[in-house]
Amino acid sequence: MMNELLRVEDLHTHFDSDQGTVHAVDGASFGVNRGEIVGLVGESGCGKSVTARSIIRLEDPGRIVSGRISFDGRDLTRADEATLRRVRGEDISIVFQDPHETLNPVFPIGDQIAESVRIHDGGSSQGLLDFLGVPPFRNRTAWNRAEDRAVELMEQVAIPDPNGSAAEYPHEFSGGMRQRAMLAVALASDPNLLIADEPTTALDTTTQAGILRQIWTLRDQRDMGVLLISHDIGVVAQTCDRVVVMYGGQVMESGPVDEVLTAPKHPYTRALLECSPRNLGRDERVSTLEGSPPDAVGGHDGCPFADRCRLATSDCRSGDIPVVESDPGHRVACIETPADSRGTPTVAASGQPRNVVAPDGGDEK
Amino acid sequence: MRYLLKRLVTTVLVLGGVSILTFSMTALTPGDPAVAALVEQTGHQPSEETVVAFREQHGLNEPFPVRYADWAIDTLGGDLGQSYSSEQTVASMIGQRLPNTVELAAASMVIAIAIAVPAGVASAVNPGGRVDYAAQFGALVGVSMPNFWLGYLLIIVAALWLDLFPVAGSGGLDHLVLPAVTLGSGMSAVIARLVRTTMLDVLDAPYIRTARSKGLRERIVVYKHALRNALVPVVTIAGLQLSYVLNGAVVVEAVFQRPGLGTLLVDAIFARDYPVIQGVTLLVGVIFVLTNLAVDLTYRYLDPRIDRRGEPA
Amino acid sequence: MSEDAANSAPHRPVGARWRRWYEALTTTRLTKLGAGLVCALFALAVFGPAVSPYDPAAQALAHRLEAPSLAHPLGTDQLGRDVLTRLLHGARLSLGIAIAVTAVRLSLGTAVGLVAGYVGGWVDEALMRLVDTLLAFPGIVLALVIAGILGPSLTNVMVALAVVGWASYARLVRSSVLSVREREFVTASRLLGRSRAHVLGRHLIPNVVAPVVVLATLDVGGVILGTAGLSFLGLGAQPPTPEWGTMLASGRNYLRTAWWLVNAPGVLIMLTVFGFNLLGDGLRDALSPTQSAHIEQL
Repeated sequence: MMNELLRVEDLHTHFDSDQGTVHAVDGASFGVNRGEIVGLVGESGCGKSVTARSIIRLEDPGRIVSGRISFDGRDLTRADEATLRRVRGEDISIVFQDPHETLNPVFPIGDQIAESVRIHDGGSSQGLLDFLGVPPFRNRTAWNRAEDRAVELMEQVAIPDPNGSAAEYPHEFSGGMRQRAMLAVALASDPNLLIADEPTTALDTTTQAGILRQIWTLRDQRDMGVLLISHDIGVVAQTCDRVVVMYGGQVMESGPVDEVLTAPKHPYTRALLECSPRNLGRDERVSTLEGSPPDAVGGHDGCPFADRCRLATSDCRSGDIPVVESDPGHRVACIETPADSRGTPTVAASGQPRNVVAPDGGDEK
Repeated sequence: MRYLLKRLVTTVLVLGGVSILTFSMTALTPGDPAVAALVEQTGHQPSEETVVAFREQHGLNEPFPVRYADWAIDTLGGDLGQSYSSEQTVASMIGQRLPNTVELAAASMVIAIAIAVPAGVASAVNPGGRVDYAAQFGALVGVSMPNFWLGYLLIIVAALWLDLFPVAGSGGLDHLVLPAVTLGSGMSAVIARLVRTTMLDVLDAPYIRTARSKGLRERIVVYKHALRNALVPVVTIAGLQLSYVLNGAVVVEAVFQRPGLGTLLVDAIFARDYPVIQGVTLLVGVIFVLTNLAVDLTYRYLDPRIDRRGEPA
Repeated sequence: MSEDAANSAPHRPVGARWRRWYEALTTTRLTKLGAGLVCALFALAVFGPAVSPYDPAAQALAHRLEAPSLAHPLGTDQLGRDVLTRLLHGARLSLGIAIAVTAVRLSLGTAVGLVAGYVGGWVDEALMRLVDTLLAFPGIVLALVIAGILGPSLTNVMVALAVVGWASYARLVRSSVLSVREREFVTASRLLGRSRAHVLGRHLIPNVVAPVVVLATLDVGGVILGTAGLSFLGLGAQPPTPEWGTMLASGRNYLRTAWWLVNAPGVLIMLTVFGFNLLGDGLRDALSPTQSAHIEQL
């Protein structure tokens, strides 16, 4: 684990709502290595986005109740505001979902990228007047350098006519271009870790592929770690090295993409795969997962998936669910995972008869 | 461009309405306006001949539409007529007083914004907190305070007890302070409440989260990213506050005995000096309508999302 | 008006509607404070004059400009009259005027708004241009001119304030009507062959009541300020009428010697307006969260 960049350990993030305390993240643990793309998958409402925001400590209005987020050896859950600002400005960047509103509508795109460059270059002394860009107060050379750098970054993320586009406003960009601009904002600080929260969800397939390719290239060039959050297994399968499957604020299964997606051990992962149209043959129908994600108010006792799982026993509904490392680096949080499969390399031997899960009970051949 | 054109046409229509309303106001006079005006001037019932001469001199014998047309045409040429009670033209009387009122309006606007923006932002940054509660309470008190009383309160405390400023009159900057504070603090209450509401909205927006994720200081997030967005509606309402300024100026000028449009209007009303009343009222209406137009256009400039596509690149 | 609303509300039982109003009045501390202030003022206006031992007009030159004391809690004025007694009589006057003027504004504006919104077409166009023109003037300036030309008297001030203030009601009601008009239940009853007037009474009025009441509550404060302001300028009540604005104006010659003469009416005006504003704000937040932004703009 020498090159482990990020380690999330037993993270709990809660929200207060009218109905009670929502346990949005309920004991999640996983890690991201340098130069590695990790996919974080799950249905909406499973706590992916809150996990992402908790990592850069923008969990508002939630609050981290317990757990540890260590980045490069620093514990971010205990860091003060100034440290966090430095981490956000230099080490970790995030690309949010919904490209419509993530860029400030009243500033030109180029300015918003250049601002990120300035934060990165300017260190901790951020004067209000510097950032308002009031001409007499700003350092002319540094200001222009940041602007040039912004254009460079726009070129890197393949925005056409970067010079002209820099002066345009977000509403003049298409969704895909806005997301690229957002990527440029994130890359401006030359981060070691990039968190991409559903970066392609709102986009069409071609644009999506372009942006994912971009993330790949950048990972190769900069040796960044990437945490790619998505509800789309197909995207994760194409792009990621490792995958973390979340449900009900907890990690159900994690491991190398090839293993987890071809030989899933957790009933939830299997159900999720069956719902993904890309995994089907020509004549098969897409199956759906019956029921809806659990109400996270008050948290769960036992496995959060128990209510929708056909294999659930009474043991699943109470007490701790053991996390079993079935293969090296492949962890599963399920009572049903046979302990004897530990270390068994082949897919066929690892409890294959059991995976006739069919959470909806309908589409088994 | 099309929008601009449409906006201009309605503005002209409203201005026409304003002028008719202003001019026909005279018709509200109980009895004969000429007699009423002469009574105020001379202090006794005028003789038949004086009334006839007065009517002749001021063209009051024409039928109403003709008088309106004459007046409207003269007005477009900048001639607002001759005052009944003084030798001056209405235009020159207004010209003498207007700078004082503009000065007061500008100063009180500056004071209002200087109080309102920081107060509203401080409220919104920590909603439900102590600062918020105090600011909201203060704003409500400010809205409820009659500005003539606030004026006297300031005179008693700052001028009579502490002897910091002159009691009344006009002149240098020290004469401006108390009236401007009186007028500005009431206005700041309204603006502060608005800044708070819009800031609360804006601070929830995803782009604020983006700004924070860049590692920006909270101060810059609030004053650059959030405030600039919140300013759009604030400018609108602040502009519409001009109505408040003009309403308030009438009273505040009376309190501090400043020669301005307000005192000119009040004096003209008591003297039944109709041309002056019409002139000042029309001016107030025009200022107000044009401000609304200006606000609308500023709004479009501040928010790049509006109406940029219509323009040639 | 609200009684009509309760009786003809299409979906809600009568009790629920009243409970909604009651809850709106008691949800927050500030709203309760506002309701308390307003109730207290009404009580003072109704019972105060009867309790006070002095005559508001009786001059006692031997006791002129006396500072507040046990005998005269708010001192005496330049003619030796008890300031508190005069304020209590003034409360009757101010509240009465404010309510009367607001009621006229409300009825006139609602009527115009209903007609404009429901009839539409050129009638709507003409009425709305009139509204625009009226709203194009700062209210007090216009009221000042109208009252001034009619001649200084309290009645004329009331007329002037009523004339200049109905336009915002008209605009509010019209937009509510337009939004309600297209809704399904209105179309449905039209299809069932109900007359226009019937549809209007049954569906539109209940839906515009809440925003109009909120606007009116906030307006009462404005009318009180307007009346006092015009009287202060000398256009409204004439001495010796114990009107708050007139009292304040006659106190201005004694700022140095008798500070209570301007401050006593000043504080009372502020408390009254403050009470109505608190009440209006609370009602707005509780009754029409979606419409609050709309009302704020008016």
